[in-house]
Amino acid sequence: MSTESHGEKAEAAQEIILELPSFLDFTGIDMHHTYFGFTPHQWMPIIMSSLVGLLLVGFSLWATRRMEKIPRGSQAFLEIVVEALYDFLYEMLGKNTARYLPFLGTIFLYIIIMNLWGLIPMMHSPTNTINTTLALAIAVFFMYNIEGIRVHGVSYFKHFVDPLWLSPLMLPIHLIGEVARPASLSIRLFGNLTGEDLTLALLVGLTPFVFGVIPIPIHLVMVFMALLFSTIQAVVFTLLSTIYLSLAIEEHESH
Amino acid sequence: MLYLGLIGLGIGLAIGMAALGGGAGIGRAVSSALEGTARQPEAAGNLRTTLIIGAALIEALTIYALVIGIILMGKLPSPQMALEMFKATTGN
Repeated sequence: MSTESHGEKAEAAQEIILELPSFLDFTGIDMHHTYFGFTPHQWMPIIMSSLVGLLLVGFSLWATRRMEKIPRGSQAFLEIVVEALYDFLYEMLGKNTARYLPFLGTIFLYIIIMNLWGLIPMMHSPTNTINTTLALAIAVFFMYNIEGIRVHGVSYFKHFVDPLWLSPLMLPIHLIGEVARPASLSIRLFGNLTGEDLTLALLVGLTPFVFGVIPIPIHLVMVFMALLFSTIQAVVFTLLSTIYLSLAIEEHESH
Repeated sequence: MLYLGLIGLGIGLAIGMAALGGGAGIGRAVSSALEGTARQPEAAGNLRTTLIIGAALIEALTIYALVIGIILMGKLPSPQMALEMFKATTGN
């Protein structure tokens, strides 16, 4: 076999599709590499996360348009959600739960809806790119540090140099650990979502056909697993943010 | 050519070793959760929650290796370019 025909065969080989399409692919704009000036600017996460935000805000406004003492319908559903979040956070935050419930509850609902958004046909999860998850992790990072400074004053930074004679050794380790917190939060969330999207796309590409025409949807197994793991990742993100916050606002007795 | 081969080897080793470590860690966690549930079935709910959270944290380390693998996979050339490079080195 000459290399000429081998080259033609390589060009005729099918590409492996790494991502299922979304409704934005029909608009003609390259959703992942559009350039504003000189930075690669992704449209997909911005549009999708705006849609998720509008959905959440719209649903909440619609459900609470006429609040009643005895809730019915969607107001009752939202009350169940808020109360479940309150109980979930109460174990770790204690008496400060009411102050931090809006932020942490929003983080949880936003992330879980964004994760599950990708399973809707013709949609992509905005969290499968590190841009979105890093933004959320940086927000959490600033939040718990600022709350720690608000509660403790400047002595919040004392725990870095706690045994002063050991601080040249412990300070770099502490700082690296501090930087590792938002980094691990963001990469954990984005890596899980990217893995799920990749596996879904590859399984869809491998669909077997009975008699050549009837497809068997073997990717449904992955859809169930993606449902489970998207929920777990949202819970873990919120839980870790709560733990970092509770560590920052508690009294540091000893290290 | 050797450079690209080593990148491919690195990708495979990264995912393989991460799967090994992650599997061993999560296996130990699930085994102790099962043992605790067997000793005290009333604590099954608490143990299940801790198990799920622990598994997600351990799995995060495997995911870091996957991210490195994906980054390295971006450095590999497309099949057409690889074919041209192969032709150039073998002088065909």
